[in-house]
Amino acid sequence: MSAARRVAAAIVALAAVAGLGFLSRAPLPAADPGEAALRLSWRLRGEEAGECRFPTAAELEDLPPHMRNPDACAVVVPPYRLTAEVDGRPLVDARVEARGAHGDRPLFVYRDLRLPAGTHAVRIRFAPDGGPDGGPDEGDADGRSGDEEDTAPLVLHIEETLTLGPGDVLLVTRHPDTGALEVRRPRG
Amino acid sequence: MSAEDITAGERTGPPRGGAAGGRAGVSGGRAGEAGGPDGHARAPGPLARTLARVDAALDRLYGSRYNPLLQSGPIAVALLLVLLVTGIYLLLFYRIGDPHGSTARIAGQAWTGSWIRSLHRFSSDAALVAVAVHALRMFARRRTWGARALAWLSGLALVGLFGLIAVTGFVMAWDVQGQVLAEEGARLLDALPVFAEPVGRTFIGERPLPGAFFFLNYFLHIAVPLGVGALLYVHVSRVARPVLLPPRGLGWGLVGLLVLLAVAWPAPLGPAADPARLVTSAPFDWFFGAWLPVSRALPAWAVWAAGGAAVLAAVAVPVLTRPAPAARPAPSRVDPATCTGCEQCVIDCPWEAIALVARAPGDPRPGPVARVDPAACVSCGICAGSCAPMGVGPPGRTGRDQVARVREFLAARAPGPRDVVLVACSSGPGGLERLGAAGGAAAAGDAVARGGTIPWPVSCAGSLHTSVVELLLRGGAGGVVIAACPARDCWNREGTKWAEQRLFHDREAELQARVERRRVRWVEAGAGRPEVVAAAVAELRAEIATLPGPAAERAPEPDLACETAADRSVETVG
Repeated sequence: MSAARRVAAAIVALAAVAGLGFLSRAPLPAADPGEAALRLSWRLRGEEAGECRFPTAAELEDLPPHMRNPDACAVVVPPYRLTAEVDGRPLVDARVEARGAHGDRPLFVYRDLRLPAGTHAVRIRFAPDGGPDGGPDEGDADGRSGDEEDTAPLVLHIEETLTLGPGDVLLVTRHPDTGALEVRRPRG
Repeated sequence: MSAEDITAGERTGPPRGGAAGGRAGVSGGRAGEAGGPDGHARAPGPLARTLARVDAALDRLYGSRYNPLLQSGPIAVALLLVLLVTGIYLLLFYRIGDPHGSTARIAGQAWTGSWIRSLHRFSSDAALVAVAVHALRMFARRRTWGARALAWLSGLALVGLFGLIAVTGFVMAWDVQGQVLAEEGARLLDALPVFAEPVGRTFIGERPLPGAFFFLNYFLHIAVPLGVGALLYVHVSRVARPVLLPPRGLGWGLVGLLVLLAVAWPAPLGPAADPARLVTSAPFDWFFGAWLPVSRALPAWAVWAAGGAAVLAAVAVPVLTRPAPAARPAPSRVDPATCTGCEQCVIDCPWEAIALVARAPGDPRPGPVARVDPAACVSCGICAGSCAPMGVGPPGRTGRDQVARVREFLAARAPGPRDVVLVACSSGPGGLERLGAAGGAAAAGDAVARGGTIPWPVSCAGSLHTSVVELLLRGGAGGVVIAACPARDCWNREGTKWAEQRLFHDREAELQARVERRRVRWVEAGAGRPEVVAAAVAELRAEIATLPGPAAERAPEPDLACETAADRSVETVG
C-alpha cells in the first residue's frame, strides 16, 4: 500500500470516527426557548354509578371461594368534561372517560399545555359531563379529602393568574389533603 | 467497456444452458437480466450496484480483508462484546438511587470512567451503524428469503432488542436526553388502551419519581442482552462455521479508534432531568434519537401507524423478495448412483443442508449416501464444486453439467494457445459488465475483451468444478483466470475459500497435480473492482506468452474419484 493510500485510509477512518462523535452529541431542538408549559395532571375516582346484584347462597356456592362476592356491583364512572381557558381563550374542551375496559377505573387528566412565557390568566374546570348546567356546583370541591375516594369532590375548579418564565413548567394538580386543584412547581 | 468490447465478449462466450453457440459470458445480456452459463441468474439492483461501488472504494483504501463494509455482521458482534465489557465496569459504579449523580461521578473519573463510559456509548452507536449496513447488504443482495428468512427475521428481532437496550441505557443516566426519551416513550405508550393510568404522569413531577422505574430500567438493560445472546444463536443457527468476529487487525483497529475518540472527545452527559423545566435543547445521540423530532411532531397514533407499517414491511421482506416459483433456483440434488458417501459436500456446505444417511433398501453400493435438505439449501452450488465424482449439485449446475458445457464449447470453438478464459463469479467480478454498462466502470471490460479473453461466468466460484479448469486448458486455452468475490464478501459465505483451496491446496475435489499451475491465476475482487481482474488477466496473458506451448490434449479424462473418509483415515494412519 502506498504512503498516499495509507494517509487517505487514516483520514477516512478518522473522519468516520469524528462523524460518529459529532452525531452522538448533536443538539436536539426539543422546545421553543420562549415557551413555558402548564401541565394538568390529576386523578379522580369520580361518582360511581351502577346496579348492584346480590347472588343467592346457592349461586355463591357454585363459585370458587375466591370469587364469592356477596354484592356484585357493576360500577361505572360517568364521564367528565375538562375545560381550560388561558387569557380568556379556550385551549381545552374535552370529554374525559374513566379508564379500564369496563369504564370502572378512575378518571385521569394528563395534559401538557404549551404557553408563551409571561403572565397568564388561567381558568380550569373539571366537572361531570352532560348535566344541564355543566354539573354540580363548583363549591363542592372545597374541603373534600383527595385520599378518601368515596368523598372525592365532584367538581374541580381553579382560576389563577400565573407568571411563567421561559422554559418554566408549572403543574396543576390536586392538593394531597384537600383534593382541590392547586398550582405548584413539579418535584425534581 | 465499449459496446464493441461487450459484443466481442458475447461472441467469445461459452454456450449458455447447454445451447451451443448461445449468448453468455461476463459480457452476456443486458443489465439486470444476465446470468451465468450455469443458469443461476443474478440481477443486481441499483442498491446492490451502489453498494458495490462503495465497497470498491473502501477496498482500494483498506483491502478487502480490512474493508469494514464486508464485515458488518462480525463488527456488530465485536462491538457487542465491547459493550458487555465496558457495561460491567459501569454497572459497578451506577446507583439506582442516584442515577444522574452516579453517572456524573463515572464521567468525572478522568482515567477510567470517562473514557469507558464514552466507549460504551460510541460502541453502541457504531454497532447500530454496523447492524444497519449489515441489514442493507442482505436486503440489497436478496439474501432474505427461503433458508435465509430465519436469519432475516431474527436479525429484525435483534435490532428491536438492541434499540430497547439502548433506550434503557440512555434513560438510566437520567439527564435531559433520558428525560426526553422517557417522556416521548410514555406519550406513545399512553396512546395504547392497556394502561389503567397514564404512564406519562410518572415523569411530570407530580410525585417523586419512583425508584421502581430506575430499577426496571436497570433490570431491562441487563436482562435484555441475555435475550440478544440467545437470539444471536438463532441468527446464525442455519449456517456452518459462522464468522462472529472480524479479522483481529480490523477489530482492534476499530476499538482503538473508538477509544481514541472516547479519550479525546468524551460523550457528553446532559444536565440532570428536571420536570420543572422544559428541555429546550440537549446534546443528543442521533443514532438512537433521530426518530424523536419526527415522532414528537406527530400524534401518537400516527407514530404507531408508521412504526407498525415499517415493522410489517420489514417482516414481510422474506415474502416480498422471494422470486416467483419459476424463477426460484432449485435446491441441490444427489445422484445416489454416483455419490460415494465421502462426506466432502457435507463438510463444504455453508448452510448445513447436506447430511449423510443410509442408502435406500436394495441399494447394493456400500456406505452412506448424501441427502440434501431442500428447506435448508440456498442453491449456492458449492456442493457441485466439492464433489469429485460430480454426484451432487443444483439441477443444471452439477459438475457433470459444467463439464458437458465445456465440451460443447470446445467442440464449437477451440480456444487458441494465447486465449485466456476468465472464470468469474457472476455475483462479483462476473457482474463487471453490468456495473460498467450502468456506471462506466470499464477498465476490466476493455481488458477482458481485448482479444482472446473468453468470459466464463459461474454463479459462485465455489460451485466451479476443478475439472472445468483442467478441461479448458486441455482444450487448448493458454490460461485460466478464476475471479472470485473477496473471501469475506462471498455471497455464498465460503465459496471463495473452498475454491481457492481446491485449486491450490489439494482440498478434496482438487485440481489435479498434472495441471500446470502457471496457467491458472486466482484473483479476488468485488463487482466494483474491474481493474484488479484486468490486471490478473493481463499478467497471465503476459506469462503464458513466455511459456512453451500448452500440452493441449483433446481427449481429457478428468478424475472422477473421490477420497472417502475411510481413505483419509488410512492416509493419516500411514
